[in-house]
Amino acid sequence: MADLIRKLFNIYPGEEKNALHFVVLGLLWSFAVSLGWKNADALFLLYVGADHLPSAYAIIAGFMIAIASVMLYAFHHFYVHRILLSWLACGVVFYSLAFFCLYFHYGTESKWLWYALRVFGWIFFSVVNTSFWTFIDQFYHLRDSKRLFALFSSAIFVGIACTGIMMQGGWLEFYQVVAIIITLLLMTSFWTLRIVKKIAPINNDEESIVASPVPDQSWRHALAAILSSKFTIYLMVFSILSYISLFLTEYNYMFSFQEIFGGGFVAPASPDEDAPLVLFLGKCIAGASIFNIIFGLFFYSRAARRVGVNNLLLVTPLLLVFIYLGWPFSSTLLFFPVLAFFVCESTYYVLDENNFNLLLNGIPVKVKYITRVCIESFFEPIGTLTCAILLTMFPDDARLLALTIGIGMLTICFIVRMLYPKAVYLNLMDNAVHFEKSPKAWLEKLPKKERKSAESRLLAILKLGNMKAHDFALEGLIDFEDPMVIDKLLAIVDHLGPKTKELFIEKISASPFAKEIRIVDQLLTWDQEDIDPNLRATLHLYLAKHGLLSPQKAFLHLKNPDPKLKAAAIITFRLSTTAAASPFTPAEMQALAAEQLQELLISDDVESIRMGLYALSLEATQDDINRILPFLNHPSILVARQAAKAIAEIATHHSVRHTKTLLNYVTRQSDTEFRLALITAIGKMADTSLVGDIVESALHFRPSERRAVEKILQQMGLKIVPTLLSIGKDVSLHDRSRLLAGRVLGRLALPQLRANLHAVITHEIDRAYFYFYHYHTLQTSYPDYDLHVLKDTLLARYHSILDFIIQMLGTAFEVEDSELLSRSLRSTNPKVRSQVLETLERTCEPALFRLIQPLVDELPLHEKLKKEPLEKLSLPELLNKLSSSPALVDQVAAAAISSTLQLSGWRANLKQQMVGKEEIFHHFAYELLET
Amino acid sequence: MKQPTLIDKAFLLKRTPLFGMLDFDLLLVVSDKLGTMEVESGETIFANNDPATRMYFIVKGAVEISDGHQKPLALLRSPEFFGDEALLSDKSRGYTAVSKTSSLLLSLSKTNLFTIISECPQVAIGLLQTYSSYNKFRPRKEIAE
Repeated sequence: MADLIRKLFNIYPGEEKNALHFVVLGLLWSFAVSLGWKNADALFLLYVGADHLPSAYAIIAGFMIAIASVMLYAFHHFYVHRILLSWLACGVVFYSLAFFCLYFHYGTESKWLWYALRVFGWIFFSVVNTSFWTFIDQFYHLRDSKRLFALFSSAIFVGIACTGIMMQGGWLEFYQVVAIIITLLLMTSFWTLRIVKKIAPINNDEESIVASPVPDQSWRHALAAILSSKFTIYLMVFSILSYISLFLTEYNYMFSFQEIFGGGFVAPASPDEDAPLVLFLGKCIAGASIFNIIFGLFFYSRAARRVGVNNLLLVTPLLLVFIYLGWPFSSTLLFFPVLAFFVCESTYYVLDENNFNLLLNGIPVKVKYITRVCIESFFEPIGTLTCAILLTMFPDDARLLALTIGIGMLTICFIVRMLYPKAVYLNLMDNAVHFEKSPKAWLEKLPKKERKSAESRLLAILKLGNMKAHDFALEGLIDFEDPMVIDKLLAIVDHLGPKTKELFIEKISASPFAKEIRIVDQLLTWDQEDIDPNLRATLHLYLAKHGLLSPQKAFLHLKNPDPKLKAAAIITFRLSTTAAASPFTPAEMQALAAEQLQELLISDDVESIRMGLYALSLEATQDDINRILPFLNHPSILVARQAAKAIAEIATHHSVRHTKTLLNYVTRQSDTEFRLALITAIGKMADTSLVGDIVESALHFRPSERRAVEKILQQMGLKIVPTLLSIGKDVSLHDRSRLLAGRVLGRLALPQLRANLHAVITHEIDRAYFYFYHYHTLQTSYPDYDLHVLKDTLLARYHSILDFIIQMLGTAFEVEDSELLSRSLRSTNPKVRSQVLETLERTCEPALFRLIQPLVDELPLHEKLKKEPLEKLSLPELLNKLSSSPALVDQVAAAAISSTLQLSGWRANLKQQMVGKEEIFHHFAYELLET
Repeated sequence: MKQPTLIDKAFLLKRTPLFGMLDFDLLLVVSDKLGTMEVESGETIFANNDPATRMYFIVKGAVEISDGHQKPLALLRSPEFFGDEALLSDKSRGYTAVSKTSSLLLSLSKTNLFTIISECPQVAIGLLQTYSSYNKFRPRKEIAE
């Protein structure tokens, strides 16, 4: 029975208690608030009349704008549950006053009491609704929201339906209804406090800052964030049009109801008497609420998952267009007004409110709450006000206006629908750390004023700071790549110490300004002055590199013990093609340079060798690579790095024969700088016959190195596509190598990748199930054995295959940072995980997503284990299979467990297994065999 | 209190042992991921046993660290950081952090810290150097008699 109920309401085991808490909360507040609101609506028509609706809308709008400002401030400064409780307290106070007026018939003759009840009822529903959803949003992520929010909104409809039934029954006098409202509001407050105490919200790394009462950003930043998201802008436009349309539709059906019921209608003498309109409205409310409950409970979440939120968004605009196109042809019938009522009371709530709660996940996290408050609190009054103005200006064209707005909504709806998948992914990207972004890109992103302030701040750091600060400021200011900034920088550096000047020369030398006349002028001026010898050495090295050091000066440095000065001289002599103003012929200069260069290279001093390699890399020939190669083995990493950089400088496609050698060096050295330089060299050599080796060697690379390999493979072009495809499909290769091939394919030949994807993914899913199933069932089948090592291996392999599947799908469906998807899927934060799934669901083919859904969706374990793998193996069979797996980790685990359990013949099997295996496996196998 | 700009955040990071080794471009990347928090004097930033999701860097002000029994352990000032231990040990907070003055803090999420460490091993080395600078001898399990 419990299982059936869970299935019916889409609740996973363990979720029931929390879900029930929120259902009760939704039911309590909606019953209380809608009792006040809906009764006030009916009583307003009776005692004031539909003619006064535009003025009521205008008053509501005025109040709502003021209240929205308060809400925005409150969400920025207070916890959400406190805001909800404060509103409930306001409700208690207001309805207590109303009770007093009604009970003592104080002010019941004037229209203002009904105005107050109508205005407050509307506003109160809006603010409590916003607070409720914001409160609830802290406890659920997107995937859960899809399943459960419909249930919670159904609870709200149950509350509204109770209101409808009470109104239709007409059992109580209005002051008694008000007393019930007060009691219900007090119960809601108590229940909210209970939830706060009992249920912990989901910790969201980003939202914990945004949702906390500590301001993290200025309004300007928030506005900039909103404006930078197209999706947010269109969603806001859609919302404002929805509100205008909602009020116009309400006006239209109210007016029709009054016209239709008006003939035999006489307003009762007192509010305690029943009226046909009240009874009819009560029936409509109850009917709409029952529909909402049934649809919300049983259909919405299923529809959202099958059809997609972005498609459900079309329903209301299409209905509106249909209503207003058909209404003129049957203006005396109740059909279209009732349908309009249905749109206002049903589809707006059961579809659009739920859609909105889910679509909010496409809004940048930092402005999610602000946008919600803006939409629910500001846009509603703006919509009301616009509606009031439009109705005042065109009182006879209310239906035409509504039709126009409906068409507008439909158009925006298509745009929102198109932007949603990308928006969810961008949101995910926003959580990522953007290592690929250059400082220039960062600085360009800053607004003009902030850029200016960044510049001033860096200049101030340069004036006051120590060497660390100088290093930081110089790098930052040069990265601005702004000639004006460079001028200011030069003026300041001129007055700073020699160390900073040295640092400046080193940094500017690697910048686009290296050869700028203003820089050269400044450096030549320093050269005229009596400066620190180290600074002069750095300065002359710079001048030599750019051909600005005279051979006469260079000659003086040729035998200088300072390797920098010697290198400057060598460079000058090597670069000199004419003997003008020189005591030597070009040939003599070349010979002298070669002699001194050799002296540097054979030196024992690290700095001398480095300078020698640096000098060699400028104006070198392909043959010089042979001279540099041995230095890649140098015990000093500084020399090895310089050698790698020198090769990267010299390499061209003519040095292709060195590719294999360089690949060997790359895998042997773990230094990132060294590896990146050699990867650049390999890229320049562009040996397409070694694509497989390059991909395989990248197996243990760091992210930045892998990105570099991807880049060089991409530059090799379409001719490597067949090789990449075969790597991608080869299950005997490591997943990471296959993935790298897939990523490059995604950029080079997307159609080919997609054409082969289904087969690859299906096979991987079977493998994932195999590991997953055995991980969870093995220990139960063998309770006497300690299998934790094997279990860890199975789990690690399952995750690795899942990573492969997710990233491959991301690559094939143009998710820019596919690695981010798998990284985020392992996040401890459920909200981040749910965004990954939403991105995958929205981007990849539905058939493929359905295949992986049971693996990635956060289903209870027994649900996941329902799908059994193709192979269910016993322990010996499993170990046998693992020992022949291409993954080293499987082989090692199988050998280790076989040895621990002393399975018969394990030694013979292991010896057999060692044939043709990697060296690392041999070491491990010997260790096992010796024990 | 004036909110720090991207450059201010990057410069503050440069002064910490954790990120001091990073270049300007990487510092900007990390700074972009830092949240800003203003806390009043006496306000608790996190309490002992709270779940841990972020670590904090002090820009302005002072933060007192105390154990589960309110015994003060340290008074931290800019550019010191705290709250990192629980992120790395994957446990709940092992101490309480209370702002002693009105303070401005920068915070970095666990997810982002781990991503940064995987991309820049220097950050992990910075952390290890910080820890080892406080420990002459790393406590180990007692030798069984």
